[in-house]
Amino acid sequence: MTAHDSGLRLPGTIPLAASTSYRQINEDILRTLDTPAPAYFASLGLLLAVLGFGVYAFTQQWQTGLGVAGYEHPIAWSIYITNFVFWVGIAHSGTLISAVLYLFRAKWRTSVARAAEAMTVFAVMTAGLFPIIHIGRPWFFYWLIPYPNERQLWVNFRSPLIWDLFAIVTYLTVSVMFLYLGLIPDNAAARDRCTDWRKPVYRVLALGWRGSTRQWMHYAALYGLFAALATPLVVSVHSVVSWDFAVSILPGWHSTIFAPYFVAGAIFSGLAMVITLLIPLRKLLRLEKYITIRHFENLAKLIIVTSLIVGYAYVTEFFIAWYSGSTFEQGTFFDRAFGQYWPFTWLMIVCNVFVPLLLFWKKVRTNLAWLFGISILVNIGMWLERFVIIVASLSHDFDPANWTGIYQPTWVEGAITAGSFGLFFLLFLLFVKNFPAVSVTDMKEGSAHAEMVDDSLARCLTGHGFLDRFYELFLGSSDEVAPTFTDTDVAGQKKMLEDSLSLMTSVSKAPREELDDLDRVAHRHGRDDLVIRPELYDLWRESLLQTVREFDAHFDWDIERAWRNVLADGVECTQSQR
Amino acid sequence: MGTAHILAIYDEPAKAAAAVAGARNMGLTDVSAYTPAPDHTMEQLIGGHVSPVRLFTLIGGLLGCASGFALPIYTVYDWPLITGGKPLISIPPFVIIAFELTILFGAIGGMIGFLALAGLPRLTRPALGHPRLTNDLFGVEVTCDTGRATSVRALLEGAGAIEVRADG
Repeated sequence: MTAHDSGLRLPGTIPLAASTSYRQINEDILRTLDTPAPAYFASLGLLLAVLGFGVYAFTQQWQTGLGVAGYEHPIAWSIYITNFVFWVGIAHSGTLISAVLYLFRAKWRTSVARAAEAMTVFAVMTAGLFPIIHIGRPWFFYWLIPYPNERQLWVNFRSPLIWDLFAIVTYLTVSVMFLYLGLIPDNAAARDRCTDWRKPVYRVLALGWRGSTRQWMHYAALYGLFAALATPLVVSVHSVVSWDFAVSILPGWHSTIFAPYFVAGAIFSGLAMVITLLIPLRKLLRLEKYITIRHFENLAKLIIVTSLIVGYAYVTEFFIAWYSGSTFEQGTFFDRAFGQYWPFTWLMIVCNVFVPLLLFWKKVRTNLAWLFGISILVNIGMWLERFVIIVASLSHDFDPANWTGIYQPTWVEGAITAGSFGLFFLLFLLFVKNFPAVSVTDMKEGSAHAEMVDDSLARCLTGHGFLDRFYELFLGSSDEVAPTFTDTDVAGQKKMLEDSLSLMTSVSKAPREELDDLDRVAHRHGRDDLVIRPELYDLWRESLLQTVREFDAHFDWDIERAWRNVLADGVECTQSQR
Repeated sequence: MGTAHILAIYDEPAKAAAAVAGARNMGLTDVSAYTPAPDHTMEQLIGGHVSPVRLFTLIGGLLGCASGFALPIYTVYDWPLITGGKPLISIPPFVIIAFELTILFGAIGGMIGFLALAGLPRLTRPALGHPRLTNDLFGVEVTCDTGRATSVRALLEGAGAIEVRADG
């Protein structure tokens, strides 16, 4: 802390010219596209081998027929459909991060959004293969599409499978456009930096982007619209997938909670996959500055929420089965917990309900090794959930004579499943090595926000009475605030505002290496010489914004967003001290 | 008299903003700014209007909604086939198709609008450019009569340009 003079000190503790920080960000992120390490090629080779094995297995199935898969009456849907639901689910968290969190102005999303969006696209692509792999004559998959044909037949729009087609095609198209929109300015940055053979590729993919102000305005407008469109879309997609099951009359499937249950599960599994991907990614690309522990911690918190919803849905399913009074329904759920498939059911419950509870401990959710382990277990648990719902329910249909058989997957199904993981990771790996895995644009915009706040504050301080007005609002905002300051004089108040502002903005402006250690920053600024209690920061922030609104002649929505973004970092890090 | 294009490069956004404001004060209308990231000050100086991209999205969305109902309704009359004892026009399932197509067409409409308004894809290389405008520098481009080129150039340089490129 420096000495306090009579005037209010500007919070620009680390003055960093926009140009310098832009160049730093540009270099840090785009250097990840340079010649990769041997480990990258080794992983690429391994994934190609796994994918090749899957493709080989599929050619076997293509030539021989579905007999090589382990289908046995009444189990006509099994691992392929499990994979389909699993991969569609994985996609959902990407849209949650890129669209829903954008609408909620959660600033931390910017570091992980690009990777999550890419994951969404590749997961939907992988998922889309499985209905085709699953059908008996895959070469006729296009019969699903309604088009005028010589047979004069149309698809049955009352069938959930057709809804699925529309939902998945829409989801894939919108996700690809969303990802690509964000990539246009980044491709331009890569085009202007790149010197190797990829330069013409970036030139084409950047579409001739120049970054003119008008282009940026249209870009921002469309980004917001995409977020607004993708949010209801993501809810609808897994709802529609769940109706593939819920619209039938099979016990264990025919349930009204399926849509919200599937959506929550989808986001849950997807968040786990984001963590699984990001932990090696930040290491491989040396992006520790940009993807910090704080981002993982926030993802972990979202996992807790969705895990609790999923756990609640499990309990509800069993409760409704009992409460329905339907013998078949009760039989199916008894069988699920204690029948042939009981190990899968209980493993699923442990992985999805109990293991994520560990994340309630801060020590666990800020430890990457633990997080990685938990995310893998959640992935396994969510795959098993779909397996249990599909196979265990089908095996226990209305005909008791069918109940004795047990489904046994064949090597073909196993190989194709492994191949799908190979394909997904391969696409993701190729993407992050050829396109910026962290949005250059978002990072630069974030650094521009700190400057906007500085400018705005400078404008506020040119007028008189900023401090008085702030205290008037802050003290009046709650009964709890006033007692904190009963024995504080004007100088003390000034110091409080200075210290708080300095804490808030320093978090945004600090060299990014320090961000990993937010606790230390918060500790140094906040806890020892505690100026305001962390729980009062919400009131503090709103009072401050109100004052700025009144004093800054240029105040508008963008400036408010910049203030909120800059303050969010600080508020969050202080509150996490509780 | 022909037209001249002048591109000035700045290393500080504030300098570039001052140059834009100065050019505006000279009565120049064709002023563009190039920034590596969205820049609020520039948007206030140059932009002004709300982007019409949203109009494209709205039209796309409405079109999608209409076709999402029209397609199933047309097909069930083209070949009437009762399944499951349900009416030919079963509104609840058709709502799902309409919902998805609303979003699909809305997003496509928005994308088309964005590309058209932003002048993308641009097939010709710009006459003036600087590779660091997407990296860390800020550009201000003025198009004016050749007669005014000297004074514009002086203005842009006076605002602190580190480099000025011009043609004509």
